[in-house]
Amino acid sequence: MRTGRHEPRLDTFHTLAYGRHMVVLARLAVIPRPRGGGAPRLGAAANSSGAQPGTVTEVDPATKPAPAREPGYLVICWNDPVNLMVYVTHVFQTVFGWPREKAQRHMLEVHEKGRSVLVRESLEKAEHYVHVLQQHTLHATLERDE
Amino acid sequence: MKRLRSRGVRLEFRLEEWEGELFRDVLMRYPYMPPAPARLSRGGGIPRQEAADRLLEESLAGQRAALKRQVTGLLEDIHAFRTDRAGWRLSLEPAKADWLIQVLNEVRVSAWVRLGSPDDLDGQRAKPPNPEMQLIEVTAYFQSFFIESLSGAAPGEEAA
Repeated sequence: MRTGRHEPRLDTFHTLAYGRHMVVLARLAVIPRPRGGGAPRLGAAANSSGAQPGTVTEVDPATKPAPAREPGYLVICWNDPVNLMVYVTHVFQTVFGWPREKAQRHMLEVHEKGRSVLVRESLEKAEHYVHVLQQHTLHATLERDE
Repeated sequence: MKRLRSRGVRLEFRLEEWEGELFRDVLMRYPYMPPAPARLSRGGGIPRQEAADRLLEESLAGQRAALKRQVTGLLEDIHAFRTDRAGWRLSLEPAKADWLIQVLNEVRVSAWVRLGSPDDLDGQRAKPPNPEMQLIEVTAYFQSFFIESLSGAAPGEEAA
């Protein structure tokens, strides 16, 4: 049992006296509370850290990994020499509900740069848009946004 | 081809005799696309790509079948498409005009594919007349007119 002043750290075990019992705290972290902060959460990260139920675990919000960006898929429209510009604009307006100016901007990007990224969506939604655009005989694909 | 001023929400069009016959001929060709595998992605990187491509093909086939039924229905509906002494008269709800534009574009792109997907369409125009090239021009004529009508760029005229 440690005594005296100490600075517990993550991934260390601490044995404390509690009445007549000895309590083992696994992976205890002592962290400064945030200003106006709330109470430390009990077992909030127990499952992810591998600690046993009944142990006390605190997670530092500052060191907690930021939530990863949702994986996304880009819906891309490619240029071709046959679809009319007025038709492509019309389809973008109909499918995405865009105002004419935005639809025209993307249409011109397809025409001048060879492709335009239309939207970034979840896989399911991106698939849906590609289906609808191909149903309108536009050359559209989806690509994973790395 | 003229858009007529309509009383209700329907779009009314007057077609010359030759236009009506051409329009009918174009629609009867639908679907015109030669069989080709559908691809959801160019670069890959999507999960279960084969299954996703198969799903896309099923989706396109289902939509073609549905549009074919609608085209047949339109051509058989004497209230929507009929001939009279002045030529042909076409009466559409705006939603129908939307899928009609889609059908016309399918025929247009399919004719281009059948032509070998040439990059230079102007070069094709300089060559001797070709049925596929004529289809590309004719569908563009009808498509542009319907799109302008939907956007309000083609104001209606009084019915003759």
